Amino acid sequence: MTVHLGSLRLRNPLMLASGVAGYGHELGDVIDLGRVGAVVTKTLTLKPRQGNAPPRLAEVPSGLLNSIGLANVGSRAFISEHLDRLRNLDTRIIVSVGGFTVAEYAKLVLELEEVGGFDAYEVNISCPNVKAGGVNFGSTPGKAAGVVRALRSKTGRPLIVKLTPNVTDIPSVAVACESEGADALTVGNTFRAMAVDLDSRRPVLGATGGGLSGPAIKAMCMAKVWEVVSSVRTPVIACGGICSAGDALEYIVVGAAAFQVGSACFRDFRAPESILEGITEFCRRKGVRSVAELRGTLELPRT
Amino acid sequence: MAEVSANRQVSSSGFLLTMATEVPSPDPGQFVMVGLPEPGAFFLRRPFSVFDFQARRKRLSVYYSVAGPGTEVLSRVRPGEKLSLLGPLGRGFPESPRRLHVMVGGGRGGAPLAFLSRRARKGKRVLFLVGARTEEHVLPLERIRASKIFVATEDGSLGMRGTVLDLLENVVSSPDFDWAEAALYGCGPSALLRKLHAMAVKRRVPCFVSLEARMGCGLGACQGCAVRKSSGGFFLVCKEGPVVDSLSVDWQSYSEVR
Ligand SMILES: Cc1cc2nc3c(=O)[nH]c(=O)nc-3n(C[C@H](O)[C@H](O)[C@H](O)COP(=O)(O)OP(=O)(O)OC[C@H]3O[C@@H](n4cnc5c(N)ncnc54)[C@H](O)[C@@H]3O)c2cc1C
Ligand SMILES: Cc1cc2nc3c(=O)[nH]c(=O)nc-3n(C[C@H](O)[C@H](O)[C@H](O)COP(=O)(O)O)c2cc1C
Ligand code: FES
Repeated sequence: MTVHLGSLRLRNPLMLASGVAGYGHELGDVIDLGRVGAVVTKTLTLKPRQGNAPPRLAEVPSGLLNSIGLANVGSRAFISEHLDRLRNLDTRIIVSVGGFTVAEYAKLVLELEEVGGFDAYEVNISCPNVKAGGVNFGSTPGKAAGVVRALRSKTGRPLIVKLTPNVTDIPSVAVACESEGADALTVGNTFRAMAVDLDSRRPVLGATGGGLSGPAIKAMCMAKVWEVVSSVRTPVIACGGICSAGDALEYIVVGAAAFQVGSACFRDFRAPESILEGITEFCRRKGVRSVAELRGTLELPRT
Repeated sequence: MAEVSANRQVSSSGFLLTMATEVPSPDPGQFVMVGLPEPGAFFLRRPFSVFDFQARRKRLSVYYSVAGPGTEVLSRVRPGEKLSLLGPLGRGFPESPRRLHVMVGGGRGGAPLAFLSRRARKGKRVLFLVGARTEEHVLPLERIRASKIFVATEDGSLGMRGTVLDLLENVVSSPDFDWAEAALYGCGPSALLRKLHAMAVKRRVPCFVSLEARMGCGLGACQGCAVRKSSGGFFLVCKEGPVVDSLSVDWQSYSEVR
């Protein structure tokens, strides 16, 4: 099931999505990390961030709403307290990086380059650009390209860019990231959403709005993956609502090279394991030799 | 996976769910994350404090009330069904060196305290205060081990008429109540815990409370269960709690959240 994303080689296409696996070691007791292809860390920023006002989670039909607010320990504590433990994990480690200015992204990557001990970056461009008045870096091709360009010149490690689905024209952002040298694109982050408590007439989340994940977003994310694979050659990593082997395989048929599992872990930490088993079983049953053989085999009507 | 050995209604709002499981022995105050049946319909596991644990028979019980659709579905689970179970998790109640342990449980909040009362060391005097809406809502009192159990119900159908706080005022105003020996343990609605904390501050006694927050992972990975600290910033209920020293909580923020 080996997968190549640029120069990054994974033992299988399953990655744990950013934000559900902490800094990698928190889930060591419940998920056999020696089985997954890669772990993406919680998004790291230069300075520690406390995160948003609680409540930060709410369950909605077939999904999970979160407004964590990028709560993270910051680069210094990450390097001194977490990186060593990550090094010892038997899987690929992808550090998710975020920032509020291009300079912040660049400084963070330079600090991480100095210490090393991980395999790739996932650039989270869903952070609000404070200089541009809080608009997400991922919301326009120009801003997204600016971040990728700045980081491309600072590292030889694979750069995966995680796109936000909250745009009308995701291919234009994807093309911009590709032309600046992104090695892979993750599609994508959560969908903006909101829930209301009728009794109190208050938003359920402390931050009012949040991001939706889980089965509720799979069909929407499928369309985004399709739009992106139709417009770039860079490998695409699908991320959105994957709970079963079937979910993952649908994305692969549409054209994804790899996939990430997020919220499904909260329902059952055995999800990654059973997804991998299900894929093996599917391939055996259909006489398919490798997952790569299935990639992009979507049959379109010829009319 | 844990096989359900019993899931019985034991009061008009309370159910006792017992599962056969190999989990390590929990400390009083620790919790478990229980996966709901019909995995297609619900997403998150639900956290519940441990109510009882029998090491020899490998049985773990939680006492829960129906608070919404998830616990409603849980209440219909039959013996023999299997639920996914994660735990025990978090930090339980520390044992105060003080001799008089006053446990104050509002509603289903009595559950972790009942477990704590049964694990209290010899030589400790336990006063257990239970508050409920009516007699029918009182949790199974036979599961509490205490020198004395006091009950308050809102309609006076059992014990004193009033809240568990009124009851507490009564108990502590007794001439032989010795604050110098007392430590408070609380679990229940935020208004109750907040007042318990205020009393502890006034009397300068230690006070440990079990908090609630909506949880995702239960393992300190998702940052979902944050509660504001009195000293600024947040702590994670699943990791640094659910039991914390009441001094560490920003009570203004905690009471607004729920
Ligand atoms: C550490 C911990 C220990 C707990 N121990 C017990 C226990 O021993 N017995 C028991 O009956 N309940 C306990 N709870 C609360 C229990 O987890 C919730 O009542 C349950 O998750 C509600 O699920 P639901 O789907 O029925 O309701 P939902 O529809 O999800 O919510 C119904 C209402 O319950 C509240 N709620 C939802 N999730 C939580 C949550 N995680 N914590 C607190 N309130 C919530 C919300 O305010 C909501 O309005 C505990 C919670 C925590 C965090
Ligand atoms: C609690 C939680 C925290 C998250 N934190 C991050 C984060 O820090 N950085 C990021 O890029 N994505 C974050 N995400 C988004 C996930 O990585 C993923 O893109 C999204 O949940 C969709 O996938 P899923 O449906 O499989 O969960 C978070 C998601 C959840 C549920
Ligand atoms: S529930 Fe995930 S950090 Fe506490």
